[in-house]
Amino acid sequence: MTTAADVPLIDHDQLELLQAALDPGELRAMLVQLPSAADQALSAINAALAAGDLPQARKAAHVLKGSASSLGAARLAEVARTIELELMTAGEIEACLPDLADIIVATSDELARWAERA
Amino acid sequence: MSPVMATVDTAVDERAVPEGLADARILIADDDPLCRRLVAGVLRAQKFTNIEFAEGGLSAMEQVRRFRPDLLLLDMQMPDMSGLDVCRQIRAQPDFADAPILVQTATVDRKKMGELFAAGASDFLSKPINPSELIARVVVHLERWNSLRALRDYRERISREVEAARRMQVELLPDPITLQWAARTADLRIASYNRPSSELGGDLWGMLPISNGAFGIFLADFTGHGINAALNTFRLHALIHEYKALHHDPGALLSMLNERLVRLLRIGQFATFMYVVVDHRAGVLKSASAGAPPALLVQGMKGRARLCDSSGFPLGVERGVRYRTSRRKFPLGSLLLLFSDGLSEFPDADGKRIGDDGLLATLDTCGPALTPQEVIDRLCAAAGMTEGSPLPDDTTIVCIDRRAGHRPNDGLRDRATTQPVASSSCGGR
Repeated sequence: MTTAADVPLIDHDQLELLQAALDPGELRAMLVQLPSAADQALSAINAALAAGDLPQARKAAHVLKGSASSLGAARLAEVARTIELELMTAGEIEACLPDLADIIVATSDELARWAERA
Repeated sequence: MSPVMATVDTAVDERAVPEGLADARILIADDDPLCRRLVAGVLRAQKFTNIEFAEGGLSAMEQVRRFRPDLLLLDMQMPDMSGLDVCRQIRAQPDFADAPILVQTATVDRKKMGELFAAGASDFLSKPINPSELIARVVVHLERWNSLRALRDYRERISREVEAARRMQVELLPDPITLQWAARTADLRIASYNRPSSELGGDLWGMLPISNGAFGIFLADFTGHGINAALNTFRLHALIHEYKALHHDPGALLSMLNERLVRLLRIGQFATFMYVVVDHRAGVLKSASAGAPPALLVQGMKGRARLCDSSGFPLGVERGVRYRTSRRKFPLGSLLLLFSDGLSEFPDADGKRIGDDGLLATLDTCGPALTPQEVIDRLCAAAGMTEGSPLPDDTTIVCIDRRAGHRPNDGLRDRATTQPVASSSCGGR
């Protein structure tokens, strides 16, 4: 089974594809926007678990998976995918959330650096 | 500008969207604002300018009604409605039955992919979004959609124009009132059948009032069928009416028409033509033929059906041809049938053609009790021609019947018991 740690933090190939296809300012803005969107997803998952709404938690993870993967945040997308599709119980998801929070921070730093370089 | 950015600019410029697509209406339906922005960013970088958004399935349905997109990019999974349900509902709308719907999905599950296409998706876009794939698929589907619409628009326009031409061509045929008047005046009955093999045909028939109740009947059949042949029928109609002074003289009329058509028609185009002047007072037919199928004539009550000579070059083939007028008796009790070779050459279910002999034999079974319309119906049936059967060639039949006014014992007409009538049918119309 693939774990999040096996997946690189950033999918550089994906970022290069976006760089070739997007207005540079627009790409930078989206890369800056991703961490806050991820924070919102984390809050939504927490809120859903608190309400005992497991499907809602999975939906929030699904949305995060989509934007993270498309914006090159590979490890973040993998954690989101795990929450959405592989973790069976609220407890398992809850246990995964600190990792998710750490990966959001690491992704945010790396994307900021990448955006500066670009 | 950094070297990396220069590379980006070059890449964008090289992949310019084909002309005519940039203003295509594109609807992006996705509940994730970042994904909407990313897809829109890629499209805008390629100069697509007409982009709108929907944040879920319900708003996608509303936007489809309001914005009428040329292409829809649909996320597979949205909170209020699944992408598949949106897809099915959009496909149920006739205007969007063929519109491109590209579904974005991260799945590689074959069963789910099958469901996606079964729901009506035109194509899919894999996630994570690959900008080149996105643009390539959007462009190819927009081009297909544009071609399809252009083809439909063209077909609809041509259909309207052909229908207008068909109505005009029908108007060239004798109107029922004039036909009725001529039939009454000459104390006989006229029926006709005219059906083109496609919307437009190369057959034309007409009635030309002359004087003292005499009238001329012509039947022309141009080579081929369809628009070329139909346009030639309009030319011929105009020419025939230009030479009104020759309407009483079949040979002279055909000779003149031939001279004109030789100059008008392109090589390979010509018309067979039969013209008969019916003079009921003299009990005489005067006719001339230009390669037309022979008319069928029953002379008097006891006469048997026989072929009238038909010879001569078709009209429009050779200059200087002189056509000869033949005279025949046409007493009370007689019947004359003109037809185009669409009748005699019609292949029945076994591929057999009735031919002139078959028509003669059938005509001999048509007693005077039959109306001319019934005579035509019987001939069509004998040829294997039903109302719905497709015709390989334009077909026209004209039947002029002097039998109803005849009483076998005294040879007098009985207007109280027999009504001269004119009827016509245009098979299938």
